Amino acid sequence: MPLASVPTKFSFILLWTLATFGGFLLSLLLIEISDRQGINVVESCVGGLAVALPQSLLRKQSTYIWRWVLSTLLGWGVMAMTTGAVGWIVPTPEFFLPRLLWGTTLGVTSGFGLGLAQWWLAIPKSDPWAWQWIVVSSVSWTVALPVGWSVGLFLHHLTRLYLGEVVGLALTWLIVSILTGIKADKFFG
Amino acid sequence: MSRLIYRCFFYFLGWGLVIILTVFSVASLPGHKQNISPLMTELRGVWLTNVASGVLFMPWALDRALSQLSALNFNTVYPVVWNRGYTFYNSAVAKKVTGSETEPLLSFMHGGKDSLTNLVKIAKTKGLSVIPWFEYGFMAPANSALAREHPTWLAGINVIKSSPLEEINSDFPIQQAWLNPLHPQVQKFIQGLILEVISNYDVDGVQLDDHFGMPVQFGYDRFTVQLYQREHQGKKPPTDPFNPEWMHWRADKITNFVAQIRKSVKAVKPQAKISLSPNSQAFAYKYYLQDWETWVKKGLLDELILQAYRDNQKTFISELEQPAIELARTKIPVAIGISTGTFYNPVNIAQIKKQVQIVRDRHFQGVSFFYWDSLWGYIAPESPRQRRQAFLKMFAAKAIRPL
Repeated sequence: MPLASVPTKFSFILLWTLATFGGFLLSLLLIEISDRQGINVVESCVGGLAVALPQSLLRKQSTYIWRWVLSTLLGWGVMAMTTGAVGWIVPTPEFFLPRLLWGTTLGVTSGFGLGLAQWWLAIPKSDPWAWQWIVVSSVSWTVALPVGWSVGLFLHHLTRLYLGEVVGLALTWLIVSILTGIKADKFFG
Repeated sequence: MSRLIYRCFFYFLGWGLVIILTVFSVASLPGHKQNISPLMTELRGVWLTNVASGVLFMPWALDRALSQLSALNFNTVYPVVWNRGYTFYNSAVAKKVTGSETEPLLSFMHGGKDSLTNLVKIAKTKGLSVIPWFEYGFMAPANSALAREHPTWLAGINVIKSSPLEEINSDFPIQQAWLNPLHPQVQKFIQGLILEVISNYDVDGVQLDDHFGMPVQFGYDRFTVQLYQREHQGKKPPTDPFNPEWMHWRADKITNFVAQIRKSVKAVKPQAKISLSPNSQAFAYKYYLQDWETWVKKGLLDELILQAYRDNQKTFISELEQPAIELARTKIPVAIGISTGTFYNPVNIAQIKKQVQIVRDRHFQGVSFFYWDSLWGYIAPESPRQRRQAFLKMFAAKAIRPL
């Protein structure tokens, strides 16, 4: 790997993190964090849109810009109807272990579903390693969701403020941003 | 081909906008069928403040808040219009005295437009009564333009160590200047602000609160001492601020000013209410010379909302059973101010429900909550949706405010 590409890669990860995490923060102006029943398909899609739009600006090939947005929306829409829009919901369990287990289970399925939709519609198939995006997405959400939800529970208990759960979710998004950012440049070129 | 893609992209963006608008108009409202039952009379109010709250500042927040309150069968809002030496409406009186027509950030966020006009307009379409709240009364920060430019108007500077609940996020000692309520120019200024609100806006009244008095340790400024001496054959005021006659004399002057305000308000708008949200009579009189029991007896008030911000249920109940409250209930509508929490002291929904029930069991005329952001915002212990559901259960049908 040429040395010059190291700062380029770092810059991309930084930009990707800003776009993803910033998109989540922006979505908080539009969506209210809630339990699973509180986030419907439309709200989930609005959240997906808030994240996908800034992310899509980082795509160099214009062909894939709208595909990225569409696939992300599709992913979040399907998620809202099945597992729940995990990026904006707080699980009901009030104990750490159930949250960790629930977060891991939903993280792997949601990450897989989202990654699959994005791979299917928005990753060039010319790259023989394109399928890796599904793995990256799955791993990222599998790590980030239980961590964020557990930290959220801890902060909620500590402060007695629901805001703690929101901060936990923000942490989830930050972790997802960084982990997906590490690989995203490979497919976004 | 690329043009087609761009068209698709912008079409998609437009579609996204439609979704967002849909969410704003629908998702924020609870999907609950209104009970069709005879209208009950109950005050259901909430205070909208500028401290630790964006509701008055964000252009979209007000519409959303008032829509939710209306959908959840609230009927009154008490928006702050006077806080920290600034007005929260475009005020010619404030401009002349302080140099600022309105609070600078509020003005910036609303592009110079009058936010109170906007608030009243939205509230009326949602069926909400608006009673602007003069939260700061005679208080102003020691470094405010008002305090700096009019030092002779001040009764003194008060270092508040345990700040009032309305201050929300300031736990550190703060220096508050206190305008002298006995000073004719102060009276002219405060009365001018009140009359401005009553005259220029379609509001249902005005509200004064616990800061509409004077700390008992004050009254030793030059103006007050001279006034006292003029009325007491040259005698100086007692050195003990708790001297009963001295307390009575100062409290009476404040009562007279309230009478003057009432007269001038009623002359402009006879149906406008003078509302007061005080602390208990004993505390209000002893520490702030606010003799509201006498105000009630003299018929100077149209509505009283007792601030009963207590977590302990026994203390809460004892506040409701004070003789001055019993007396007020025989004369005017009396409602109870309930705390829904602050950032530092979140209040769970079970406590709120219990307190509302206590108030209803004792047949008070309603409740008002302090404050908007903790009703169902993230600074509550439960999720916003859970909180809204609980409020909707409490207020299942519309109610009209007591006349």
